[in-house]
Amino acid sequence: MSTERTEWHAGAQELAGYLSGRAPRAQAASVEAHLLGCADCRALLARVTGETGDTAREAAWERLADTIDRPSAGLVGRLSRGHLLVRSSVATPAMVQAALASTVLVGLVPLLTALAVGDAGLVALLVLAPLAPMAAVALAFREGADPAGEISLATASAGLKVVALRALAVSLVALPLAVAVLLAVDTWVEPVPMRLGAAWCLPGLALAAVVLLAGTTRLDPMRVALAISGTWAVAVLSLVTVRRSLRPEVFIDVLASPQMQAVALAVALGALVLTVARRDAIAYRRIA
Amino acid sequence: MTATTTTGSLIEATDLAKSFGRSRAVDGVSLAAAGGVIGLLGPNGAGKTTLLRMLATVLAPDAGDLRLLGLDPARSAERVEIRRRLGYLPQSPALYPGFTAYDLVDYVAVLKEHTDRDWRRHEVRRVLESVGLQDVMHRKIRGLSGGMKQRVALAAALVGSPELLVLDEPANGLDPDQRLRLRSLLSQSRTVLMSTHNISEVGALCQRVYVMFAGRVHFAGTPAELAGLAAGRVWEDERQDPQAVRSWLTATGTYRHLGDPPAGAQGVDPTLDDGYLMLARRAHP
Repeated sequence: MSTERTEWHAGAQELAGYLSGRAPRAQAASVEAHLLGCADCRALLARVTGETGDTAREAAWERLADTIDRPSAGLVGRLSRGHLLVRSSVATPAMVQAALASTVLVGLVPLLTALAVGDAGLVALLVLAPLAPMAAVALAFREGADPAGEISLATASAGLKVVALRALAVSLVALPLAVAVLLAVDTWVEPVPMRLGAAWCLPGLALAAVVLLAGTTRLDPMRVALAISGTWAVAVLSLVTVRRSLRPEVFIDVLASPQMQAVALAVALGALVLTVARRDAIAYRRIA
Repeated sequence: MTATTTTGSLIEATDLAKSFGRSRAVDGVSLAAAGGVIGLLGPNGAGKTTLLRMLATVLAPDAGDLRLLGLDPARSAERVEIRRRLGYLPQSPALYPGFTAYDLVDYVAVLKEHTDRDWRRHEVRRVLESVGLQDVMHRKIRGLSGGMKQRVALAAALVGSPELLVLDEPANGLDPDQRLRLRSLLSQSRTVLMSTHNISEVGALCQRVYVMFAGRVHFAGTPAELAGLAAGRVWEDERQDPQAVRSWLTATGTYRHLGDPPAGAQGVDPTLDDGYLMLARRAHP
């Protein structure tokens, strides 16, 4: 664009409007495009700027900086920055790790095993799924889980609220994933008994609640989670040895039995009630 | 339900104690602050950080009475109210390196329950500018220098202009220019409790100073009173004096001595350093 081809020139009023940011968008855009090619109007703009003074220029910079600093409008940006609860739980490195861990636990491993060896995939899901929420809780407690470290311990939101939210957020990633894996196995590998889908929910909740409770004590939640995983693995292996079978029904019968579900419910409720009662201990956590 | 301060003191600590295993990190400390800048001096391991953590509501005391802003941090509702009005800078703040300086301070503002996004945008920029980080606020923390990281953490402590600031070695890693900037920043704040290794910082900034050795407070008073501990016990001489408890060569080429002066010694005005050294000697004879 050059001056020769341009008939129109920006007037002082249009320039002042452009400068103050009050001009309509279309007009501002054409003034700006014109300014790029017209030295006369740039000179005029410089004079107008001089007249309106430094404050107007500073205000213009301020507006520009505000626009640049405005959080990105992308979906993820909006979700992760917008709401207090989402922000404090999702936008953390621990969350990403926990989500990855649960993806592997309840998604990849069972799906790949199911595709490779059929039944054993379901067994893998049964064995691993109850451990996923617990892993999420343990990671939410981990040192360095909070992006601001010790600073966040002295804020009003510190304590059970943030830890529980992180664990919940990971569970919200893990749950639909586990359901999707069940449906995928059901569709492509072999039919899945309906009650299997629900059977592991309460045991999973119970184990997660126990780790949450461990967070209110001097015990390291991560170690407690590892100890529970070990015990769980031994229990599963014992069952396989005793029944001499890898069929999913063996596990479903045990896991979905009313006794097992009742015990899981009792443990989950008990641990959650105790955790809430002891929530102050989370606010004052192991540091020193 | 805003709880108001019933007493004039923003910090009222009586006989605070905290042990880790067998070691008593803080052993019966009493401290009161009604406003201004209060300095906490002492060698490494004196218990300064443990004391500040208790005063920042991050650590629960084993024993003693503590009231902050007139409220009791042992009660959970009152502790939350204290935290709404408190800014805390830990000793070596661990900041997630993947966040930008802006993101991190914004995140802390969210944790401090500032939900209004527009307000946050202005406030986060304001505090980052106040610590001189406006040019790097959109850089990832992993790319910032040690002094810059320290200032990011300081900005996080300043978000929302808290009534009470608890700062653990705020001048750590700052260059002389930034230290001066920090001084003017803190002198504008309402109540600041800060630990430091730097005695001249105390002289320039603090209205009141506490000196800790081995978990106990050995001195509480004004900086002038701390210097006054060495009054009449500092002298200068051409030579080293074996009678002195401490002697060191000064920039002017004379020896400065601390202790019981010999007859006819040239007495000089004591400085804060002299007072501190005198106290250290008394604490560990």
